[in-house]
Amino acid sequence: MIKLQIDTVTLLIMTLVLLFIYIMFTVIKELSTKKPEVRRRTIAIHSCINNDYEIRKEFKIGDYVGKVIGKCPRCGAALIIKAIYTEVEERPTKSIT
Amino acid sequence: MRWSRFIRSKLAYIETLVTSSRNKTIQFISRVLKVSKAEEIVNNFIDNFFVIEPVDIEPTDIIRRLEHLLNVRDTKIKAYAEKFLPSVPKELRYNAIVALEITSVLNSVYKSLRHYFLLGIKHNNWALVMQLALIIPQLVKELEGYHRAIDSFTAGKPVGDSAGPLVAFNFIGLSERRPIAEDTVYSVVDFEGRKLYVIKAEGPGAAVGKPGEAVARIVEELKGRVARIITVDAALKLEGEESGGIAEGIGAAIGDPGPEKIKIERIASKYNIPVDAVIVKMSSEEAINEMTSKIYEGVKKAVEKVKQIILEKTRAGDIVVIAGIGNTVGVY
Repeated sequence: MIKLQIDTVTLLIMTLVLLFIYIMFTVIKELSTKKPEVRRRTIAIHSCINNDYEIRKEFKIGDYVGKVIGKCPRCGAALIIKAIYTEVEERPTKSIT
Repeated sequence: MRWSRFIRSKLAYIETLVTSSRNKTIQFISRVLKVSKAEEIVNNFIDNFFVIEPVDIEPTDIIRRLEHLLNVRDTKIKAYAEKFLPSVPKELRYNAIVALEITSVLNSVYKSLRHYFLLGIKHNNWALVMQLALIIPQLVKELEGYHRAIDSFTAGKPVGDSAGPLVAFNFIGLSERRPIAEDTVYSVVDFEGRKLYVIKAEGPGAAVGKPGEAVARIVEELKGRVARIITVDAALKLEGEESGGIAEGIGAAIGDPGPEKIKIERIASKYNIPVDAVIVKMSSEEAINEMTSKIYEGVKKAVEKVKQIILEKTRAGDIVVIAGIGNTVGVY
């Protein structure tokens, strides 16, 4: 019968190896479940009330739907903000698993 | 032990959301509205203005009593805002009120969760602690949505719930707004030979108005000569459904506690007027946050659906009442 003898140093090394594996497993799991990066861009659609001209612009504080912002470059009628909405772009983060 | 540690970490996170919301509101009042004593305004607001629900074991007149209590609360909040923000334009003052309300909601939910957690620990009630641990991740998601919503309201951007007023805007454009009820306006426009009375909250500040009262008054003024009432509102989608999808149904599409909805139902049944509901689907988070392109596409579809209902179910010369229900922040 072979007698299994484990000295203190071996036990310590085994504990450290197990701890290292556990930490690596936790880190990998955390990275793989990381939320995707979300980019948001708010757009204001400037449009002529006669619907012959439309341009997308970045939203500015003070903008609202129905705000008169000037004259249409084509027909000279009122140019208003027709819509304001946010474009959401999700960029999945690279997973190492 | 593991449950309580988990709840503690989530509560600490919710507390950071409350603190952050409070700071954002204070910054908006002090930097954008340029009002001093911003901290005092926020602190005095968040623990006050609760409403005690009316007695429901005696249901007689419960709607009238509920409406009275809601009106009193509304008046009290507006008076508070006028007192501390007197020189601020109405639209910005209304946006500030919503930011204060959001901070107040976050604070109330945080305090309730903390209460149940401490109660569970105090009485060693592990069933209570476990239930809390199971439900808290879902609540955190909802509260994150509320926290983010402050940015939309302080910037004055339309939110998902603005879908109804945006549909109304698509019909009336810049035509004259006439006041009909508190914070509520209507415009009269012609469409394919029909006369449209289009109702919405008065924008572009964050207001929902009283669309039920407005519909009732207009129908009474017209002595019931209305061919159809069409209500358009944002509605919560079921999980798995696409945001921005639309649906058509029967009834008053309005998500108030009751007083406004019942007014539409009463006036419609009094004069036997058909009531249509067009809804734009979205999640609860999308409803209070900046309007996404998907929801804007839904708004465009809802406009077409309303036009289709008018053309198919009414005749030239008819009068149609359209109510764009929801918060009109960022929509004139």
